[in-house]
Amino acid sequence: MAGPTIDRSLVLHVARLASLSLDEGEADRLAGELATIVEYVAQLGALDTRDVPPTAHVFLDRMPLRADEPRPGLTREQALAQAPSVEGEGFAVPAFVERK
Amino acid sequence: MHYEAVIGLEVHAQLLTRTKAFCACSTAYGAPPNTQVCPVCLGLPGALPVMNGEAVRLAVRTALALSCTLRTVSRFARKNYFYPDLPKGYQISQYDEPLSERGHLDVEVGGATKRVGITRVHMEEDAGKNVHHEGVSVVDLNRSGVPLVEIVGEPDLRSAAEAAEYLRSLRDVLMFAGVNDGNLEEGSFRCDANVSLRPAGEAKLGTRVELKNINSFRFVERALAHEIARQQAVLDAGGRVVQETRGWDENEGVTKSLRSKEEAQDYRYFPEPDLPPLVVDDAFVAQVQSTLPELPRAKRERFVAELGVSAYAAQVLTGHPRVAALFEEAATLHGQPARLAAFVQSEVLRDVVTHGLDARIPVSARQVAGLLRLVDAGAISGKQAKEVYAKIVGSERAPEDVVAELGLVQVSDEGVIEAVCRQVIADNPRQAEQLRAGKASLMGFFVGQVMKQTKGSANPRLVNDVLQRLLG
Repeated sequence: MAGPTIDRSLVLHVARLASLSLDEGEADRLAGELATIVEYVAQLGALDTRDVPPTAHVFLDRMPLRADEPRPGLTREQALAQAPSVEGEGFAVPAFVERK
Repeated sequence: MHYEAVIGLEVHAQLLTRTKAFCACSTAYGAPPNTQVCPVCLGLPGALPVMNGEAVRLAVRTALALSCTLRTVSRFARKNYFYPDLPKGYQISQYDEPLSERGHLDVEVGGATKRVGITRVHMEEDAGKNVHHEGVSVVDLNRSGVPLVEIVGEPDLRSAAEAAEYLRSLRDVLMFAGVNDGNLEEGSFRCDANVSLRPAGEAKLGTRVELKNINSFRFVERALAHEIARQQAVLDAGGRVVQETRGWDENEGVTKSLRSKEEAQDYRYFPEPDLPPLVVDDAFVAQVQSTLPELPRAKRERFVAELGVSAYAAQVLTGHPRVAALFEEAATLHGQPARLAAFVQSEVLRDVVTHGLDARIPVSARQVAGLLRLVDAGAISGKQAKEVYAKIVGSERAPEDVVAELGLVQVSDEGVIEAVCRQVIADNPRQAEQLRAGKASLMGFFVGQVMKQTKGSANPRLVNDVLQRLLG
């Protein structure tokens, strides 16, 4: 199984999706490092898996379902205590315009 | 050139559960910000989702109500994107193995029935809510993790009006199915649209624009009409429609570009490792199917075919589940559905105020049926019934008590009625002459005069009989 070619433009694309800003040089360095990692994982391709169904979970049984009964969670104070920035009753983030 | 609009709608509907999709936080609307949160819906490290069984049941019910084919084993996937109201950095959704596919919804448009395809119905979680202030935006995560169904419609709609009608019908179905409260104002029923134009007769689809934030029936029609006109103008000027996402600005009455195709999201979907496959086996589906309430279309048809209600009345009475329930209960108690339908339509509906699934109906089925029985028995006239109705509305009083209190009695004494009739004829000799000469339409005038003299208390059938005898 041939992995994707990891080049500078793919690294920059993934970095943008991940909201990462890379310095000059970092993209090239990461392209090399990521290519090595992907190559390593690509060794799995040598195995014959034609008769093995694709598996996304270790736990193969069906999903357990929960009863629809409310339970108290965290207080607002507890929830906001984790936040780097708080404004009034909520999590503060830099002002933005809705784009969705 | 003449263009044809092609519209497909995506609806996000909140499922009527008490708790969120993957945690036990309450979904109650209107709580103070960030008071219905826990490590799971805040996206704190190490917290794991556990599926709400009721959400699954309601999603399956939605799929069945829209005649979809259910997938016995479906999977959840992570949809990755960055947004301030999405604490985990991904939304748990379904991607290539959704809960259900290939359904349809029949919609009445322009007097004909149009079948609109449903591509898929899948489950996902909602994001939080943002409030924007000067220089800062504030995130409330009470809504984060609330269970939704996304209902993706086929691009079968051809006008803004058709799209609005589809949405109304879909909302009615979800409300009657008991899966969603239909509350657009509170955001529990939201709509995005894909719109494109193509030369009439052309099979190939034109470039589509995704339209966001069209969250009222009025907006939907206006936003789509505007977008269709905008694309038409671009094409007429020899230009090309750009594939992009646009938002509806209600204040300015225009759609505005939010992002272009180049900036389009790449969501990097992958299977959600924290949730095993969702299994809905035949027994589960059969159980949900057996508890699926009657849907509005079937109800309308039954009202007409079995209860003898007019098509128009059936339409009006199935406008809200609570109104339909009141009518059915009262019709059963009273026994004459068509008469009851007329009364509910003309009197009761005036006082009904609906808010999503809630409805304030200030009179009970028992009161309405009891009132009409008094009319049937000849105890009061139809006109007096309206007077009595005004007194029982908003109270729990029995109509019989009000009739006794007001001293209302329908006059069915033929002697009394005849005396009034004779007086009315004597007062109107010219009309009486014309009637005897063959102007039959004047009979209504005399009946009206007698009813006026008796303040509506005379038995109309007797008045008619007596007048026929005296003037015939």
